[in-house]
Amino acid sequence: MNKKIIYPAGEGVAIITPTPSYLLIHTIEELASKDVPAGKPFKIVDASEIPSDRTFRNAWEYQE
Amino acid sequence: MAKFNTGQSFADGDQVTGAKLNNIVGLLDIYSGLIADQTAIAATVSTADLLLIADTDAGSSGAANKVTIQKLLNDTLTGGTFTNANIAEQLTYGTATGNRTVSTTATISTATITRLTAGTTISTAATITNGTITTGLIPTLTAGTTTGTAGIFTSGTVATLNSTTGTIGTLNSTTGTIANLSTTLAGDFTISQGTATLATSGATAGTYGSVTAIPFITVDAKGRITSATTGTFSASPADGSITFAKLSTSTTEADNVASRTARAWVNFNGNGTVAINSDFNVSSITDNNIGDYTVNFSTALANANYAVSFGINSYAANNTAIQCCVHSPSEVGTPTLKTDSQLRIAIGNGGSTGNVDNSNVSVIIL
Repeated sequence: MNKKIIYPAGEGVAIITPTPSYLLIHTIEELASKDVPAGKPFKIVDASEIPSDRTFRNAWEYQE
Repeated sequence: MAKFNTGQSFADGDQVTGAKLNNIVGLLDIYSGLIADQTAIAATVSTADLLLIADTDAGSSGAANKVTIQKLLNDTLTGGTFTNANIAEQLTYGTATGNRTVSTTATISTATITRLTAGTTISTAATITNGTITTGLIPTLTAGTTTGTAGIFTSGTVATLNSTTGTIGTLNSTTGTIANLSTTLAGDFTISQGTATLATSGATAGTYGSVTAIPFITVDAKGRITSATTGTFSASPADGSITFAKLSTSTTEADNVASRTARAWVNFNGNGTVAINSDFNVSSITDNNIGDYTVNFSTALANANYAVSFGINSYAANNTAIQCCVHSPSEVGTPTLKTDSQLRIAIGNGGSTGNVDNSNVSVIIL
């Protein structure tokens, strides 16, 4: 399972990719609480949900 | 007062016969008054004074002979056994038993004294040159050879003291020297013929420890090594045994090893969806936008004043006009995000505006 964390950042969206080593001893929820800026909403999604076409990367938006 | 009694008397007119004359000679008694009535000797009796003695060697009716006091004592003490005698001068021969008082300046050159059990001897210079004392109280012995099995010596110098069966209860020598002493002590220490020996402790004599062996020593409460063995160790540390905490943090630059190590590093593919290849102390990579990433540290660093090194793929073959930088609003501005727990970086193509993704991004934090 390849999970990522997304949260709104500025006008777009930021995507957090965990390192395998960190997930050996932590959960992705713990990672979110550490690396997502305080107060930001976030979602844990499957990597396949992230678009591979980055042509309009700066146009991506975070949806609740 | 008659001094003689013959047992023969004559009446008036009596006839003197040969038989009666013989009675006068044969029955003659000398009354004690002959001696008791004599004047007592005024001077001290000397060894040269004379006595009368009936010499029985000449027969049962031996004639009286004179003898000196010296000869009387010498001859009779030589082979006699005497009791309750006071010997105030030299005691040179014979065997004496019973209670004796020996002069404080007496010299006993050859003697066997089986028991000395009573009385007070105060001499400080008595000398026994060649004798045997089996039981005795000898306050001072200053010369010669004394042997005994139960003697008590309160002070003095004893050249050789043998006690094979007896016990020396207390032996004090605060100022003298005991040169050849054998004794058995109730402990770990023995003395034999003047040589002191420690009991073996259990350890085998040898040298323990080397560059490849460490000694294991067991010490008892007396500080003795009771066991010594060795154990092997590797000249090089075992794999994984050197931790970061063991590295030198010396203020001397040449000795500081910890500062030479990376606090964190990561290699990832930032083209498209981020894929992290390997890392140390990095929990995640945040994809902020095209060519815009944040490195998140697993464990916060000591501070934000760390050095950063980057490595990325070139823009095109033989074209290095692409840079990876600490994200900042300008070359002199404060970094956008450079803390003890995060570092934001940007990859720009020097030949154009805007950032670009890169498929081989390396970040090293020192």
